[in-house]
Amino acid sequence: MKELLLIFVPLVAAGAAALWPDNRTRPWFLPAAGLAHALLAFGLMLRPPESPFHAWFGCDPLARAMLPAVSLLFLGCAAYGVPYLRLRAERPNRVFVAGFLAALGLMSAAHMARHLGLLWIATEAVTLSSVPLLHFNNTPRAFEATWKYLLVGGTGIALSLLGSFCLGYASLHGGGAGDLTFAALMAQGTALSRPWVLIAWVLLLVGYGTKMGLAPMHTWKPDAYGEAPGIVGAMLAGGVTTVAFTAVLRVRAVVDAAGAGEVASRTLLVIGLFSMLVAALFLLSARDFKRMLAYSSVEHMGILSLGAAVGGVGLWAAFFHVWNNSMTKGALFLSAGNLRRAAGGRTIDEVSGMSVITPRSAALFVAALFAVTACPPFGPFFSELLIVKSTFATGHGWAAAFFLGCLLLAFFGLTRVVFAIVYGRPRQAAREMDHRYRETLAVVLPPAALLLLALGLGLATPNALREAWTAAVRQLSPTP
Amino acid sequence: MFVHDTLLNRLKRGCATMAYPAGPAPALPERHGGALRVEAAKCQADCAACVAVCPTEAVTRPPDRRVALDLGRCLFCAECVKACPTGAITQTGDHRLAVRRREDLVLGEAGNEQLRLAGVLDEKLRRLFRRSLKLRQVSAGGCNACEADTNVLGTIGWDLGRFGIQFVASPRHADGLLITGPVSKNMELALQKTYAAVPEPRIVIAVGACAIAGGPFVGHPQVHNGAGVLLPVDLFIPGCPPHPLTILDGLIRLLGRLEESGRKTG
Amino acid sequence: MNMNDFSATLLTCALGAYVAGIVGALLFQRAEKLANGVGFGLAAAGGVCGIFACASSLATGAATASQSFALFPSLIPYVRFGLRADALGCFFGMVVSLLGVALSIYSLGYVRGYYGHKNAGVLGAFFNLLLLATTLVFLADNAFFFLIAWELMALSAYCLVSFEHEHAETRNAGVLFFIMSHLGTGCLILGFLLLFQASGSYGFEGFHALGDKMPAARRNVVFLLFLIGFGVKAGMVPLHIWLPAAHPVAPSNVSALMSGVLIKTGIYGLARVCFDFLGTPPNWWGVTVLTLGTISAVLGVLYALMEHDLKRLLAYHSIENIGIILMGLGAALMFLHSGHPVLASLALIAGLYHTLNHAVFKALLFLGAGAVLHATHTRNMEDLGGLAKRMRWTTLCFLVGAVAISALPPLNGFVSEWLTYQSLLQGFGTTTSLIRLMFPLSGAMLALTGALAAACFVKAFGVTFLGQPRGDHARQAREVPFPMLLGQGILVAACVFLGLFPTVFLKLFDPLTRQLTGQQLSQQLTMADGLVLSGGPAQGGTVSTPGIALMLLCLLPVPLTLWALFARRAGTRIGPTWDCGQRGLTPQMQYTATGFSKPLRMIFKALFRPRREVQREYDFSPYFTTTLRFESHVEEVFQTRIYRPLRWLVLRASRRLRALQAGSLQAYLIYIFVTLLALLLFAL
Repeated sequence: MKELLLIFVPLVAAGAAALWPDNRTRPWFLPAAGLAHALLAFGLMLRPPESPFHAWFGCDPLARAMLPAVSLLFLGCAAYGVPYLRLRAERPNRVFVAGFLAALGLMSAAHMARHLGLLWIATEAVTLSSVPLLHFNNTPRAFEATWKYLLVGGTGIALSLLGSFCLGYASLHGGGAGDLTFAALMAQGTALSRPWVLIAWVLLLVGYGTKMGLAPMHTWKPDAYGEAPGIVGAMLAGGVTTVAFTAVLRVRAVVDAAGAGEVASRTLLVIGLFSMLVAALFLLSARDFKRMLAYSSVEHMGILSLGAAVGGVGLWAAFFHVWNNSMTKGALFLSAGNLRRAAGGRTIDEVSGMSVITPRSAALFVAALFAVTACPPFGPFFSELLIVKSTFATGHGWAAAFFLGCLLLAFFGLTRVVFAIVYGRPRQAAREMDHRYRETLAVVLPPAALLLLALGLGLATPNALREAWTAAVRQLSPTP
Repeated sequence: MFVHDTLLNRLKRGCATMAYPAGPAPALPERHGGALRVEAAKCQADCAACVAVCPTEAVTRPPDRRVALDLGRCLFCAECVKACPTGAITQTGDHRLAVRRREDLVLGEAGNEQLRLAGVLDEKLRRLFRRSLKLRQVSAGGCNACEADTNVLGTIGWDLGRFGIQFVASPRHADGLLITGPVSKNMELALQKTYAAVPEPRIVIAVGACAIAGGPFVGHPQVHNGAGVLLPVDLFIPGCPPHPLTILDGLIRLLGRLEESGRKTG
Repeated sequence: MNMNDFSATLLTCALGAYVAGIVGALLFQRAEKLANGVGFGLAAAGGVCGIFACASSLATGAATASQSFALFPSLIPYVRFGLRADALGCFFGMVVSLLGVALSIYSLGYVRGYYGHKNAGVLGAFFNLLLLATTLVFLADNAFFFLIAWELMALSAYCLVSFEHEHAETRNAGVLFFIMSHLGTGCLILGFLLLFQASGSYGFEGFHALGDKMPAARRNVVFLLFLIGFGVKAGMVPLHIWLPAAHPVAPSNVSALMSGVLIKTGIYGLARVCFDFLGTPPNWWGVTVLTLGTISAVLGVLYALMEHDLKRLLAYHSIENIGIILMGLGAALMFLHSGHPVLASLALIAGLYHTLNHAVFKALLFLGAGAVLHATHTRNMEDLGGLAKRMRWTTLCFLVGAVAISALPPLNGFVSEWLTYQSLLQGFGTTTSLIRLMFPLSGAMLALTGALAAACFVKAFGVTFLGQPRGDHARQAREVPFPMLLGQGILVAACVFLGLFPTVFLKLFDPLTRQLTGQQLSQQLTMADGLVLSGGPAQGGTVSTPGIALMLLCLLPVPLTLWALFARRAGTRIGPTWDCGQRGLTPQMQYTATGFSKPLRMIFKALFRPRREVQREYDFSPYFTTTLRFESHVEEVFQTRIYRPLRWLVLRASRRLRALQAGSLQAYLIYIFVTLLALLLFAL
């Protein structure tokens, strides 16, 4: 029951928001629905149901491990959304609010999908519902970004559809009855036709990898994250990527069961390291601080992929990292949004001295920078250290060294841009913007709260979360 | 190889320093007439031939005596010797010219036909400086001829160092000053500061016509006519410039080293 | 737990004081004086507790067999906040606490200069955080906690270095420091992971003598990783480029702490890894460390000579002294390999004693430089001069520091360098292979370093404090407030005591060497009831610093008596300084720092590659110049030959890659299909 509510509460709220006449009070739907959703998600995590709701979908351990993170992030963004939309009162926000809420509902559906086809539909729906969000700023560049998102994302979706068909055929070929739920596919195990499974794996990895933003399928990310409002970027980077990651993990479990686990791990490893390298190199010459965040997201997707490749403790650490990533990216994007508005510019050539103009957002941005580059005591330090440790323990010493090297290069790039923006003397444009986009408590508290969560996750990971992740790992690799 | 060749060369050359004062003094060149000698008795009554030709008014016929030749102002050009019809002024060829007192340089009085040469320093100073006299040279605006002839005393032929006499870099290290040049107004402050910087007991030596009385620049508004105007001078060595032998003679006579060397040769 | 209860309580008090300092300083941010007093007062209190805790632990010998105890229960599953106060950790803990006390007292006066335009509370909070993190680094008992404390230390040091971030120079220095620190930490993580792989746990107790159980190739990799990781932090050439950038721009109390303690964390790490974790070393480890130490020492002092920024000069001297410490450690490693544990202990004692001494006198010098900066607002020696008459006490303290760092008896620098010489020279007889030539060679280089260091401090002291003031700031300098003098005074007293009574302090090294090399040398190194220091029973020399001090004191009356007897009678005449007959002495007639070092710049031309540019303007004759512009450059070899090309390469790769994000949708789609094909081929 709760599972259905998880999907329908946001969708109903989306519908209601679409019908709501008043532009000024419509944003309140966001925190309302977000709070309800979060309560439901945490309720499900703390008191898991004995059996899944339905064969095709239900809150199985994997969903329970990931969905609350998305929910929490949404809550933070929603709390930010109210003052944000008030600041942007000149734009009609009907489509925005409805689309945002619809995206939440559909993301919940995608997490809980236990059927290959349903997963694809839900993911496609998430893509479609987030298109109008990207376009909120209504500039030509935003339009271009949306177009690229649609096209590149669409290509990915098409590939994953093809992959789903291949996997279905593999199942048929292996004597399956046409039951395309993941549980059934895993149960077929080695009966699945190996060449078809491998083809399906590649197609699905590339397809869902495009949604995740692994290199070299990440090319839509810089434009999308750069042009979208901060709140949308946060949701995309923290929520939609999680959806795609869940999808990849589910497929991978099937591939593992089919006996091609080695290949899956290797491809994930290579793609993960490649993403990190590409991200690091691009970060070194980044100039626009919102596009920089896109590359940081690519890097973290690479880290997740690496954790998934290693398996076992690494997979557990990847779940830990999903939570850390969501919180940190939320804080980063929201504070970057504050800075962008108040600065009147977007590159390090146009912006500097933000510590004078918006001291709190700048401080949050710097603190979030430290968090995202794995400085203790923030959470990402612990999750990344755990991933490195497990990479080492499984014999991939060189991969661990490469990982650390890419982290270092990414660190250079990120600090270069962030410090250039925050320190120094403010430019003329920023001084003029100052009175219009002053830094109120309402836009500072949500990113601060998210950052505190990231800090707390590192220092005091709650037992409930740890057990949820362990359960998820067990679900994905049932055979020891 | 360089060291080897140098050593061989030095060994072959042997000692190039002159024997003086243990041996005879080197001969003065032809042109150098040496000290001048004035016999006032030979002066004619109305003759002022020497006065007319002297460039620095060194020879005068003052009212209180027949003739006065101030060797301190004399440039030793020997024009007066040529001009004198009676040969009252003659060149002696004597290289010894140094005196202790300014008035000793004025010839012409009866009995003052030639120089009363320098005597030794008083006992206390003689004991201090006899074997080690460090001098600071002050070039107070002259033409540099006296400096050149003083400088040559440091070469291996003359070897001033054998007497313990040396020119030092700082007046703080010095026992006395050796002044050349007429002391231009520009150098007045420097000369006084240098003198003040020399620790006591100290001596002052004036070398050359400029340092004694202004030389060719005498009477010019930009010079003080000689060091004696500003400082107490202990030794005067006239000449323009004085021959190195004259300077050397003056210095070692001051220190009383001449008698010793003389005693050595017996 | 075996650790003395008294010490454990004091240690907890110290850490608690630091935490209270952080909280208090931040709480009272608005009230500057209160924030200053609370923050630095608590830091000083923490330092005092720390000194007593560590010193008593070392003295009572409890440190040799101490168990670790958990600081507080941890909520993170695999991280245990455990502390282990063993001898090595206690020794370094003592160093950081001593410096903490002196520097905190100094800061009480120094921070007054920031009132009104910078946040003193934030400075106090981060200072306490740095002290806390550094103490935890020394006392941590497992790799995870060590790494957390290490990163925390780097983070707080970065924030402190960037305190005056209005200047571009400061910002760049801070970023460079942070980046190099991360490079080191990456290597450390890999190294610890390799050790964990061999040991199965993260605790340092489990790592003991692990190297003997590891295969040789892996052991070598671990050694190299830790050498790079800790070498970056220590400021070892060629990883030192952040040091001369970061130390000058930080506030002076922070520079003192960094130079005194932060770089010593690298030494602690190396000592811990090489002597505790990795067992008996192969010879090339010691040779490498010895060589790198020698190179650091010589290059450090050479570059220091060329500096005219007072704090940059001191920063390069830190590199030099780290080199000297590394020489001691490298020699100790070589002795361990060749089976001479007594000599190894001697070299280890020399290196670690020099660590303590360097911390003390370098901090003293930085505090003096800070006082000069506080009074004159400039670090440029070419604008200073004549401060001796205006800032008497600071001059005296700086002079003591300069004498100490030049290794002149009877102060502490002399003692530790003497011990280093002893160990190097005795090393010649330990083997018969050609490697033994390294020992006298290093000794010769050490002698060269000592001489150059003395020359450098003649320059630094003379140009800054003596003569006439070269500018208005120097002319108007006033003596600094009392807390700053007190802080310096504490370190002066430490320098003197460490120099005059080395035999007393040698006893502190007993538990240390017993733990690391199994030897106890204080008895063998002491003679004549503690008055004479010996270099070991076999062939060592002897020296007695109290004796030298006594001799100097006794000889001092001799010229005074002679003067009283004879000079009075001769009378005194007071006159002006000899000025070559000029109208008077002006500051322009004095040596400049650049001029003073010119002979050395010419001698070492091949290293410095000096460039000189002179531009002259004149009206009617070149003899009467109206304007003269002089520029002199010394090439920073490591930046131009190593780091800049590396950076250029990486950035070029990045820029080439940017071309891929061309904006063309078709290109993006092609990438996807190419990836698809590649993966298909790879998988099938």
